[in-house]
Amino acid sequence: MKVLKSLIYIVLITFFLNSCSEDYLDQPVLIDNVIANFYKTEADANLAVISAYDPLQWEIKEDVYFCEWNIGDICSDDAIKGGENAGDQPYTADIEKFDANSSNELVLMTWKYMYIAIVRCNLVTDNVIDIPVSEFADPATKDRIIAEAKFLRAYYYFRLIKVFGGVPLLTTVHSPYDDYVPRSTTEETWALIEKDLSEAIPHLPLKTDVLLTELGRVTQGAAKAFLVKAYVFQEKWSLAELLANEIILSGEYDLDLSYSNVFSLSAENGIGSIFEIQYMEEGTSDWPSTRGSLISKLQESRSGWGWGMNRPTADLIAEFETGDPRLDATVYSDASGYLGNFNHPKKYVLASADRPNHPTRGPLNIRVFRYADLLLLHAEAAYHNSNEIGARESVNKVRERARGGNSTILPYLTTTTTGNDLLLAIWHERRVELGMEGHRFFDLVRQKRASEVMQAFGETNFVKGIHELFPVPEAEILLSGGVLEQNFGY
Amino acid sequence: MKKALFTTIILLFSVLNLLSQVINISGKVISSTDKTPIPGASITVVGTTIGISTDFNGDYSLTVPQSTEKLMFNFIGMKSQDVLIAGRTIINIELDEELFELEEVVTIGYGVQKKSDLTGSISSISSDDIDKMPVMSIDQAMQGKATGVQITQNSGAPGSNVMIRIRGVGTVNNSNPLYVIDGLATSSMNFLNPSDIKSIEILKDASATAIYGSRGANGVILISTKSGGKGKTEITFDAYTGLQEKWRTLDLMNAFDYATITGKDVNDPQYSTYDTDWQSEIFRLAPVQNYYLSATGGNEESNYSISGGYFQQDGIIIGSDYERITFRINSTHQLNKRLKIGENISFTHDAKNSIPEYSEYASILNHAIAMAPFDPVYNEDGSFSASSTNDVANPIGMVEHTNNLYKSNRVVGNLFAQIELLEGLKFKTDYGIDLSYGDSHVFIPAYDISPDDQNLTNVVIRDSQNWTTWQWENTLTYHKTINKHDINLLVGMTAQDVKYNNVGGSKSNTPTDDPEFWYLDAATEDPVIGGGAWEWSMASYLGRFIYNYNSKYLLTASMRVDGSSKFGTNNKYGYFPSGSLGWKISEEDFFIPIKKYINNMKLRVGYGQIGNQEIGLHAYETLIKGDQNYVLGTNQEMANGSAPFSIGNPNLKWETTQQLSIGLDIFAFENKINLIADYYYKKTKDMLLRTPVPMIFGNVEYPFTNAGEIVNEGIEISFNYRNHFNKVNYDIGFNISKVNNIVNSLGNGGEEIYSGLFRGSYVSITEVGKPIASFYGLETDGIFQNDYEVEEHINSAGAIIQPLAQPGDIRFIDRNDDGEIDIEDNTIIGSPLPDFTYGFNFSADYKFIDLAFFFQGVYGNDIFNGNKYYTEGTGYYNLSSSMNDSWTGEGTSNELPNINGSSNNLRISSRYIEDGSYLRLKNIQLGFTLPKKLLNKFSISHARFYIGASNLFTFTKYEGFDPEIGEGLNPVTKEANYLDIGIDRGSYPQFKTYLLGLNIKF
Repeated sequence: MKVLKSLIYIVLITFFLNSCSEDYLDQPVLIDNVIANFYKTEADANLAVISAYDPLQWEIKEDVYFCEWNIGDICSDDAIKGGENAGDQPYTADIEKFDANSSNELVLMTWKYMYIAIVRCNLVTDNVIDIPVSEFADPATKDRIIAEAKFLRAYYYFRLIKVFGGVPLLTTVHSPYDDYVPRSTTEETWALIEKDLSEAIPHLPLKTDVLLTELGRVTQGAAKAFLVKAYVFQEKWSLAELLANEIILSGEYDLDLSYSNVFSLSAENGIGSIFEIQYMEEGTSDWPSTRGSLISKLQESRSGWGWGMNRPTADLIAEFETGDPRLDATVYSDASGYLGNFNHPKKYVLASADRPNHPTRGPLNIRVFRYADLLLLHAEAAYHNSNEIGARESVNKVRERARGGNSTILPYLTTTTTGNDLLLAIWHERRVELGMEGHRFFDLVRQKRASEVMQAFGETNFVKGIHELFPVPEAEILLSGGVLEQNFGY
Repeated sequence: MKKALFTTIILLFSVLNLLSQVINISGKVISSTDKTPIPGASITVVGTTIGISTDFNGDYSLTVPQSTEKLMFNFIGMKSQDVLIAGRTIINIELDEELFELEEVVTIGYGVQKKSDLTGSISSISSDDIDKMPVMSIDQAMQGKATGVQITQNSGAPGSNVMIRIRGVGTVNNSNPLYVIDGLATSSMNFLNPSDIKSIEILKDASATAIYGSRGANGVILISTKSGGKGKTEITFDAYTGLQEKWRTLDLMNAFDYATITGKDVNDPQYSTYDTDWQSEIFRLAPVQNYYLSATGGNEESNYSISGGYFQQDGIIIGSDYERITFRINSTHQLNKRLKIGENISFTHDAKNSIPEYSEYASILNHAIAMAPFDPVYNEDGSFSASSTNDVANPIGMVEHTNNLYKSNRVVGNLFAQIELLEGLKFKTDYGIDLSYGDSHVFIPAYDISPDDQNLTNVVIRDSQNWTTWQWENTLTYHKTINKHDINLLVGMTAQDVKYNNVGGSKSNTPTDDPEFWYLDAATEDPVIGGGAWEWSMASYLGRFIYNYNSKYLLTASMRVDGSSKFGTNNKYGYFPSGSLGWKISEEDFFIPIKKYINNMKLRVGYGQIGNQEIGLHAYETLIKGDQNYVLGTNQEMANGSAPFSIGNPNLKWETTQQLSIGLDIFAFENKINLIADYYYKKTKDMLLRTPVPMIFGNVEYPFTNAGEIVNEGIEISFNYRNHFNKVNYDIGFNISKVNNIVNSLGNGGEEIYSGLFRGSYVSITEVGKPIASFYGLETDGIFQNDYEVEEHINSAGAIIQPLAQPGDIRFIDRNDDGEIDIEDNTIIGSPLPDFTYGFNFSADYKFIDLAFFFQGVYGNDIFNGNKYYTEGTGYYNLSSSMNDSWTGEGTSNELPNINGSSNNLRISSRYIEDGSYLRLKNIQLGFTLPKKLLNKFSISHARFYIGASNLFTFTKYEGFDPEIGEGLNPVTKEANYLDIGIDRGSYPQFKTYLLGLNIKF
């Protein structure tokens, strides 16, 4: 009897232990949040969308640089790689010579990190939509955050399409074990970019309505401008001209008075700027996190303790008209250099007095989309729509500002510049106005003259129909189980 | 003070002898085998403290209370006997020799079993083994003594940890064994005082460890601490003191040679004034001391064991030392016929001063070998001198400026109650705790030796950590013997919870560098604070069935179900079954003819599935990571962002190990010979790996999956021979263990895992088809003797492979034949895993003298000798004397490159790989036991003095400081890098120790 009683106690104790164990095996994660508890509030929505902005700043990952100018400038006739020696960024050397194979690290990191960026946008569009509007102080904030994510998604796909052509399109978050998403066509990819930008526009604020503390967030103007660019890349000239005109007429933007001031710290997010990647002055150490840009260090000459990358060519210098003050604002010469010529790009080289704290990183924003760029896109579109007057007008605005009041240089285009000459004049203006800003190679490709120009420049490796695009990473093809198709010619 | 204490104790026990009404009993104690008298045998009155020892002729005379019923006769190496007095006054006794203790009981998980009935593979180390040769930490008591257990010291620094691998390296992740101390599962054992240990059992095969389920895959080390016996109270005092010294220094250049080879003007006073031997500046003769006092005793109802110990050790390198204070109370009480309660409680305080190690950049030893010998330690003004030729910090300055003290306090204990419900049916509940508090005190003073060696503002860094563990176990056991059937049943459940917390901070700029300002509140600038926490928990159910038919056929089957917070939501519970069979062949009728020779023979076969739950705490969760920030606003301020890095895998689970083990135990020739042989095949699958997934799914880190497979296959043999020759008793043992390790898979698309970072290059690789963490680098092919050889070193397409090389540079092999030397030419150039490990021990005693020694060795492993980066480099650092014979012109050397040659000569290559085999006289000891006659006057029952030495001889071809190189540790967090093995980054070497000690028992 006593035994029975004891046994009952034991069974009771066992069941008691059992019942508490069920709970206590669910240990909460301490310190880090888990996904199940995230995407619940306005604050969460903000944290999520900021994480989608974060990749804008990425210049180097896994010891590989993959800035836009690594292709946009260095692959073009505007610049050579530079650096300490051939082994300094060997992957950039390979793509510069159009000798890159599918294991090139630069294309690998571009692919990998643009998709990480896209998934961050998808996390916002997937999850913020489910946060009740009542969670937001201002109901419009919810739509705006989703619109920002869509803009950023379009921006990242834009970077991919320029390098790879049509890519796998993901607009929702996938499990890592889902079936691979095959490549979409170039047209489908452009369609997604257009759709995302178009859907974003109505919910984004005008630049003038953005709070000073929020400066740097995506604006309606930025979304429209990128849509213009998307149209131009697809040669949808009339849509491009129409929308570019809309932006011009809005009065939201204008050219800065002085060209040489465009890249100063004081002109950041100024009237002439449609979209910038924001950087800040660093602390003295890399801990806890770093939010400055390496661009100044990368491009500065050796005598300024820079690393001497991205060196302007004589070909670019020759493009400038005699006396064009933009040359001095674009290129400087320093004989103490490393490899190659003595030319260095000037726009993003920040005096060390302007980045006093951190040995390598500085606060200068990247001018991704300037108003001058938009004007020149407008000119190109107008030209193709046979609106030569409108085209000349936009080009002349750019030349007038560049002239800086000196009437002896950079004369206005007149009616004598017409037909193909006008197109060449627009292209010329684009090259000098936007020199060393990472646009050139992509412009040459969309203008369908990359082969011609690069061959003339001496890049005999360039094969028309192949080297307009870069190879898809071999590693990803393997991981896709062969579903992902390689670009033609690689 | 100490003296007074002992006098008191001695007096106390003398007084206790003079009690009540008495009778006198006398007699002689002789050996049953050779009928010779046994001097020093102890005779005690059971249940009291009364006792005496026999004299030189084996005679004794003892006064006992009239009520005494029984006497107990004891002698080491003999079976003890209880004898009823039954009115006699003369009692002569013959004691039987005890050769191998077949009836010895060993601890198995959640119970005990007769050694002869074991079906699993278990190595035991008893307190006798430990007491015989004092050790500074428990791992040293195990090293080389148990087959299948490889123990490697990670460092010779006092108080440092060891790497223990049981039956090979089972996973690319944490392959440390589980420690169970008096039933409490924990992750370390070095808080224990070795003298407190009664036995160590190492459970090696799956059938033995499966009862520990998801923590059994890497083996289980069960430690039981001493409890009191029934009988006389025994006071034990152990003490030793000794000196430790380095056993080797590297043969480096003196000032003249180094100045000459590096082209300095040897007449310049800068290069000719001093000739500093930096090695002798950092090494020292270091004392070690240990004191241990315990009291044990008990009667039929209760027993107890109380002890205290103090251990202090200085390191052989300046600036390193360790001290440990331990207390322990163990007792059990039979409250009534059915109910028994008890506790084991220990407290440990330790304090360790450490110096930089585990890093090729920071290790003191690397600085000492790299400093130029013509640089002095101190400048004329007494300040530390700066290196005149390179970026090395003055090592004496480094030690001086390192104040890195770690103190900890730890309480580990359990309370239990056991009730016998029916005969043979027992219920036991056991609640244990493990509370550990650690405190790190770091102070870096301000100093300015040179621009490369300075800290301009002093810094205080503090970190307080605590670990809280509780464990509650409830078990029901049933034992029944029906005729020839013997059944043992166990069912139980256990729950455990482990929680960690830390709070730390740093500040700089205290008023002065004096120790009274080494506190955060004394500093004024740059405050940084931080802190974290984690917690995990388990709930488990277990069951075991042990069946024994006629002591001939043995069967064990067990099952454990583990629920763990570490497992993914879809896999909360893991099931770990095992079974084993034993067959005592020697009990069969057909065996009778040879039983005379082979007294006992048992075949064991076991198979089981066990797990490793060390897969991280929340590897299955999708964690939202902060610090994914951007910059916004005209003032350009940080805007916070958060995003997941990888998608969690709710299916994540333990790593699974399946092991088959076959063993044979033989006792032969009157049990004088004992042979144990084991074969095992151990396969680990479902390792926790980050396997690649397509990049379009946007994972910053690849998600964790259970994938991959590693196989360890091995043979273990141990042989012991115990006999006596006239009055010399001796004991010889040899053991050898061989393991083959191979990685069969790293999962789908599993990429090779690089590890072992050394000066920016990975030195180790784990890849399919090779042993884990193999060394990886270029292969060398001698030295270019002339320009012609450089031009002739071409690939199949005719391209010159090293066009920039100069004569005197190393010729590397272009394995992929692409015409250039790069990382793609790397290949496996060695393995840190030994082919086999072995040990040899001998002990003998004759009358009052005993001698014992013990060799331990490993064979066939390689070591990456990182010291060579300095000593056989470019002359930027001081060089090995052998570099006097380095290449200086055609034909001068084909091994040692020109010191003025290309820096490519320093690339990771087979040049750094050396044979790491060694054989070491781990311990040797000579002891003298004082005659009892003399001692009896002081109520001392046993007194022994000994002299001993550790690591007296080491035989190795390895050229670094010491061939014992364990795991690499993160130099800051001191966490092990599991795939960083055998890389010598200026490791703190093992050393020689000379000891003088005594054991006294009252």
